[in-house]
Amino acid sequence: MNGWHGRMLRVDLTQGSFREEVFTEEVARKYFGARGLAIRVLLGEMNPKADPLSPENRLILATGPLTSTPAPTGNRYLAIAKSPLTGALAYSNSGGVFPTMLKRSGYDLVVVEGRAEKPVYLWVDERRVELRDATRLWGRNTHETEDAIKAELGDDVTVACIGPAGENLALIAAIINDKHRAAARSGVGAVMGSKNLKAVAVRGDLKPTLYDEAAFRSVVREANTRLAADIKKGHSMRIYGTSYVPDVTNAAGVFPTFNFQLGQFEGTSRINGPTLREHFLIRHSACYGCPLACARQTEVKAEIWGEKYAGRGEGPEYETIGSLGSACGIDNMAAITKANYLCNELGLDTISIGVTIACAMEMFEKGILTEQEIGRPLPFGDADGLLELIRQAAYRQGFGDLVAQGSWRLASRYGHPELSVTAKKQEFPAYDARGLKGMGLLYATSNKGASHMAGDTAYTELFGVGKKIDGLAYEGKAQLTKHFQDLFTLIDSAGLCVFVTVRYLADPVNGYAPAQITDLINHATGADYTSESLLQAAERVYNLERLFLVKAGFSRADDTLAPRMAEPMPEGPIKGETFDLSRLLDEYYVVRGWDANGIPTRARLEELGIAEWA
Amino acid sequence: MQVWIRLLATYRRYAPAGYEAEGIYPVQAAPGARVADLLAALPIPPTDSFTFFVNGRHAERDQVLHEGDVVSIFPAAGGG
Ligand code: SF4
Repeated sequence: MNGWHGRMLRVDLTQGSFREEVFTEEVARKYFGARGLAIRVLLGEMNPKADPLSPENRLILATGPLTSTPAPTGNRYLAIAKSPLTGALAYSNSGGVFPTMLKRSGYDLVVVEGRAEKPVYLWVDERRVELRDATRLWGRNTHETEDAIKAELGDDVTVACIGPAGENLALIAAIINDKHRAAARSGVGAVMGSKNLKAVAVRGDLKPTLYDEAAFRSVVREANTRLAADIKKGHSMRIYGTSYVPDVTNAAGVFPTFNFQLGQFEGTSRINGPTLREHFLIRHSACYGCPLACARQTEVKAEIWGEKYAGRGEGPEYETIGSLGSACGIDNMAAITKANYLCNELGLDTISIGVTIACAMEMFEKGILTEQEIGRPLPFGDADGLLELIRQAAYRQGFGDLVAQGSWRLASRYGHPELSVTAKKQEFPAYDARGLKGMGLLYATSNKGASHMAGDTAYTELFGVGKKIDGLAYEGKAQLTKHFQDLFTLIDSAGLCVFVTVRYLADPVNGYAPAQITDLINHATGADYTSESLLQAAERVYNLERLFLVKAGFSRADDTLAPRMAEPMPEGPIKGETFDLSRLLDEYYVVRGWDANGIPTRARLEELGIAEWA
Repeated sequence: MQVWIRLLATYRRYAPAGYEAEGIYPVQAAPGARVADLLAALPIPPTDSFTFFVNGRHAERDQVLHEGDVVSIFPAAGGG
């Protein structure tokens, strides 16, 4: 088999056993890539209504056919499970070095089920598998855990693990790899914690063969040449990373401010790319083999910013600046950066915890939450409150026990679910949907709740990569969002990173067709996909995921958005704008081939060749 | 009439001396000037692909400018 090992590692933690399972080329083509193979397991083996924190849930660490290849950004994996935050699916994408080494350990996927009696970690070294005792690692943060495992196994292993947040089943807990990269969203860290699985350590040099390596390398060369030329001219993503984005979203009035009450933040220039670069940047860094190198190692120096903010790590990325910063009304970049470090060390999703604390701040300012309930006053802008609540959430202490459950459960408990800015109970990323209608439709309909990673139409509605279209228009957005959802399913499934892929491996000028992605997959696996048939393979995966949601009880009634998006934006460039989902939802279902209740029709499932799953 | 140019991200470097930090500065434009006229006067390489807003909103190149308009311009780099 080319492009794949054709092997999954199956681990049953209840039994303390593991085995190899092979899959055929036919299966790998029908259930395309990381998300395709994973949804086949989830749909085929577990009750979609099962409790996500029960032993029945599967935690799947899945790579794609381009993971560990020389394809630019072919360095990703996904953590896939039923989400304890949303009850829908979790498929959280992360880069770094771990995903490449996971693939080279000899398995395309690792599927974990059951629950260990005592904390364990999984060690995979070129298909030699071991479950090791992790009792002494339990309670340690992600950095200490990685260091301890490396001390035990050697410096050449790479580690993905949970911190205290995952152990304590915080519904917004992340899985952290390589200390600074996060499979952050939808509570995948809590699923891992519920299994008593502290970490996965991998090592190896087993690479699947490429079907036509010369052709593969020539596509890679051509894409890298275009990227290198842009980097030479000065690429914003190289110079600032995603931290250049606050200036753009703020200019467009879609930068979440004070829990999405406003779309422009007065303190933006203090939390933007130039500020990060001038005061905190040590050096650029990259996920494995990435020619763009958009990541940034940073430091908050104690002698300048004070002991309480001091630290060293990576980030913050744009999403983190928006959630821990502007959404909370915080314009202190040292504090935001420190909060980011804490989230990585404790194993929390920066987006969800930031937007949850923003919600708590609004509830405090409206008198719904009191100082007694929180344990401190919590006005917008309270950077020290932010840091304290992050720590409390990871350990489920005091008010942090509620924060750990996300904003929807927090706000609902006090009778104000309308203050939670979520879709399917997952917090919005840092784009206000009122100014970007495609994003609003994406959040409402995504199989994982609100997420930019599920089909970021901001690429065209805001950033103008390829073509700039009007974010405020409704026309054409049903089709656009559907296309981006399928395209991003493809990017995830292939094992690629969105940042380079949309611009250099897809064809943004021609309808964002998966141009070079198709070539790379064909040259890697020997398949003969066209752009169309590959997109259809992604659509098949998307529909299988939707079927999982339907079987879990989701329908049209759950394809909704935070009520805040129906409130007119009070000021700024999009003053008066609302997001009216009713103008898009029916059309979206028609484009998808789903019925009026959001259920895939038999006809569409037959077209996609998956009617047997209905 | 006076309009404002706001250069974002790496385009800050094209701002006149003294304005690089914030990237926003006023320029004089003839009455009836369009976005395209303003863009043509900037030293952006012709091969660059970039994006612009007028007063934070989507605009086309032939949009006529008005006194006090703010035109934001940045390279189309993506991100998220
Ligand atoms: S573009 Fe950035 S996030 Fe993506 S693979 Fe490269 S370094 Fe990692």
